[in-house]
Amino acid sequence: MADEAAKTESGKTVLIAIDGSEQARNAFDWYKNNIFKDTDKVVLVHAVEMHEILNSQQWYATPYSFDKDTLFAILEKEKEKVTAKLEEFAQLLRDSKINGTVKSVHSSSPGEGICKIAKEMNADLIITGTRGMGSVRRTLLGSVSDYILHHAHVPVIVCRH
Amino acid sequence: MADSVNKRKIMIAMDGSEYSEGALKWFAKNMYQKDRDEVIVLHVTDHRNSSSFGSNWMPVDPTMVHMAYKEEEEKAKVAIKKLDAILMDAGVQGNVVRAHGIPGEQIIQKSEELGVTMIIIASRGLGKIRRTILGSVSDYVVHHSSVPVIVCRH
Repeated sequence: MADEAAKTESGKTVLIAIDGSEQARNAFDWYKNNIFKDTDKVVLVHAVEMHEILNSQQWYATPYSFDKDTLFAILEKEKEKVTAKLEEFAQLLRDSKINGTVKSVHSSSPGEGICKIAKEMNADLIITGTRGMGSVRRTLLGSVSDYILHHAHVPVIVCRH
Repeated sequence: MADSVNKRKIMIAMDGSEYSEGALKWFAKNMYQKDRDEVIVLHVTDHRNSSSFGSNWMPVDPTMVHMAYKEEEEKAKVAIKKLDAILMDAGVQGNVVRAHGIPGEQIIQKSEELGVTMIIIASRGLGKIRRTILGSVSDYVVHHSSVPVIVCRH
């Protein structure tokens, strides 16, 4: 078909929002089994919520809330956690033999962060699960996926399982 | 490469709008695998507009309702014919299925009845309110579907 030639020359950039939850893992697997083409550029994005850090136990437990050293220590630990997560995702890519990059974005609103990266990387498609690690379980769709759905300017796939 | 053994039953919701046509084209370009996919195009006719002719001062005129209903049906028939042509144009082998009722609910119901493995829908369709990025039907479908939903926008 004449279309075949056109398809192979332009790969699309696929952004998959990952937070380490089972849902996100399923979204990645679904992409691999249903959409993946070897011309795709895959970007796994981990959105880190800033206030997670500041709301953690350690922060409240410090005697002086403006203790510079404690703040640095907490941020260092957060950085380690994020780096470990990114390594997990990178391993995911390696295991699936998919060439891709892993990124993390810090934002008070993870949805906003993901949409920002999508614009920066000119993503052609965003894939997200329905819900991640968040605590509110009563909703049908998590706040991050909901945000992405309402603000992205490219097709969005919401993977429900 | 994508798993070619798993059969897929894909439902594409189309209301005759250019947005839904865009969604089909996206599917054809990025996902369609002829030997693996069974494609169902669902068109929902919403007759709610036809049945609201009454008002506080004048009861419903059955003739008007009947006429509006017929008009809606004629529009749907034209849309269906067009859908067959659009499918052929895009090189997709699929069946056009019709439903009646509230679009969001019908899409979910039919998708469950037919056991589809994913739903493709445009972010917006023929609706009047243009200020939103995500239309009410696609919003409903995403929130109520038990299978992955692809919301296409351009």
